[in-house]
Amino acid sequence: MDGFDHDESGASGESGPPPLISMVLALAASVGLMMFDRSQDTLQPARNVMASLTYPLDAVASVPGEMASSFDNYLQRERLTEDNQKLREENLLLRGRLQKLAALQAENARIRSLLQSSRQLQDDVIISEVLATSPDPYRQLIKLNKGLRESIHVGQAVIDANGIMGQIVQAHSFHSIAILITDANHGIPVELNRTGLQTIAQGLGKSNQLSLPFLTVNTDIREGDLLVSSGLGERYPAGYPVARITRIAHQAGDEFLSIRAQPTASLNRGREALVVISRNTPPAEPGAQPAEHASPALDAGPETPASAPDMSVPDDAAS
Amino acid sequence: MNLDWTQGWLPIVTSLIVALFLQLLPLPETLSMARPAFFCITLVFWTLAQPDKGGILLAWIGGLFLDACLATPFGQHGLALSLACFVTISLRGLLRDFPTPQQSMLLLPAFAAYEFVLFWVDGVTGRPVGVLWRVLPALSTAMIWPLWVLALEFTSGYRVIPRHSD
Repeated sequence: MDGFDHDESGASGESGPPPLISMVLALAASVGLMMFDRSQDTLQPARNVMASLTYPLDAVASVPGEMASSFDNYLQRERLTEDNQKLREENLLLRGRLQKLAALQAENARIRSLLQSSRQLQDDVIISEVLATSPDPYRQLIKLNKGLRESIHVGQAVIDANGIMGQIVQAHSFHSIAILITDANHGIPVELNRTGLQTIAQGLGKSNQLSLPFLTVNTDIREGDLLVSSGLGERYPAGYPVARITRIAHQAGDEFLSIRAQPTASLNRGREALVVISRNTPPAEPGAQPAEHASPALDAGPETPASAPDMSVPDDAAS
Repeated sequence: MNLDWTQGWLPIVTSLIVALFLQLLPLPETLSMARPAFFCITLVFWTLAQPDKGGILLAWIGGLFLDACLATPFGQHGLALSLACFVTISLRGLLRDFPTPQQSMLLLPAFAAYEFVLFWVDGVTGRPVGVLWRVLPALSTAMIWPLWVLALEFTSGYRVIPRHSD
């Protein structure tokens, strides 16, 4: 009776089980699936296949935006565009390496005088293009056009020319998804470049703000201070700029300051991102770790550095 | 036989792909907050127009794809979409008596149910949720319903409510 849909459907039911039963089944299946998905990574391959199936759609969906932004380029000669692209990538790569200098000067003065430890400066990076930002306004995610095939894996840090953007939370065959440091589920261990104070910068779910919780009133912190990644938690490479303090407020009677910082990376404007594939902070770096703990102990509460490693792992990336 | 099968599903699959595309289209943040749930209304349309093909099962499977695209927990959109379709099925008898523009008001509970489940799961999984803004997509979805129905009816040849009495 397939051919007579028009007539048949006037009657109330579907051809399958009654709606209420289907609904209960769907409810049970969804809830089971969600709990299962959250508790372990077994579904990752399935997600990978489905995401790869819909990848062309994603790519097509990002075309209008790309066309608008590269409209100017098309007015130029094609060769110019090509050269420009090549130079920009090269420039990005170089700036990505250079940006550690500010942090390193301060760090060197501090650490090198204490111990004779030196750090390896070079990180290997992969240039990737930002395909899309999250269509869900309540999540701060970006989609990158490089995936497992280009040896991108979950947990790798993503930076741009000006600082840390976030980390990879899902790697698919052709693309990957990164969570930005501004996502409300994300915290990044940072240190104050000026004083070496260790703390955590938490996302707020807004595109351009981080919050620094649990800093006491007598903390030495000023507007304009630069926060760099501390490397604690071993998710992010140490020494990359993360954010600048924009506002410090204190409510009378409150134990902690309310501090806002603006990420230095252009999180929702940039078109390219660098994925850092090697870290310069190996797990066992005997000299550096005690030094990092020693200096903040002077000005921060003792629990701040201790909690940093836990905070840096967002929910979705929990392994 | 085979051709019959294809004829029945082609418009459904095509329209769902288009809806998915609209769902993924990058929009400025403020606009994105009010983005109509295209995937949801397309499924609701097929639940009404082709009850033996569209419906809760189709909605649930479609939800999995939406989850894969949006990097949400598997099952979140499946649950939301099947609930929307369930509400639609329950309202079907009522919908038949009204013209399309008024149907959008009647279907508001279905769209609201969809948004509510998304909102609720977001809350449970610890994402930030601005309560007031969550109302916007349900309203915008209801507003776009007549246009979307017109477009789907025109391209697919199916009617949202088959007129068995005519």
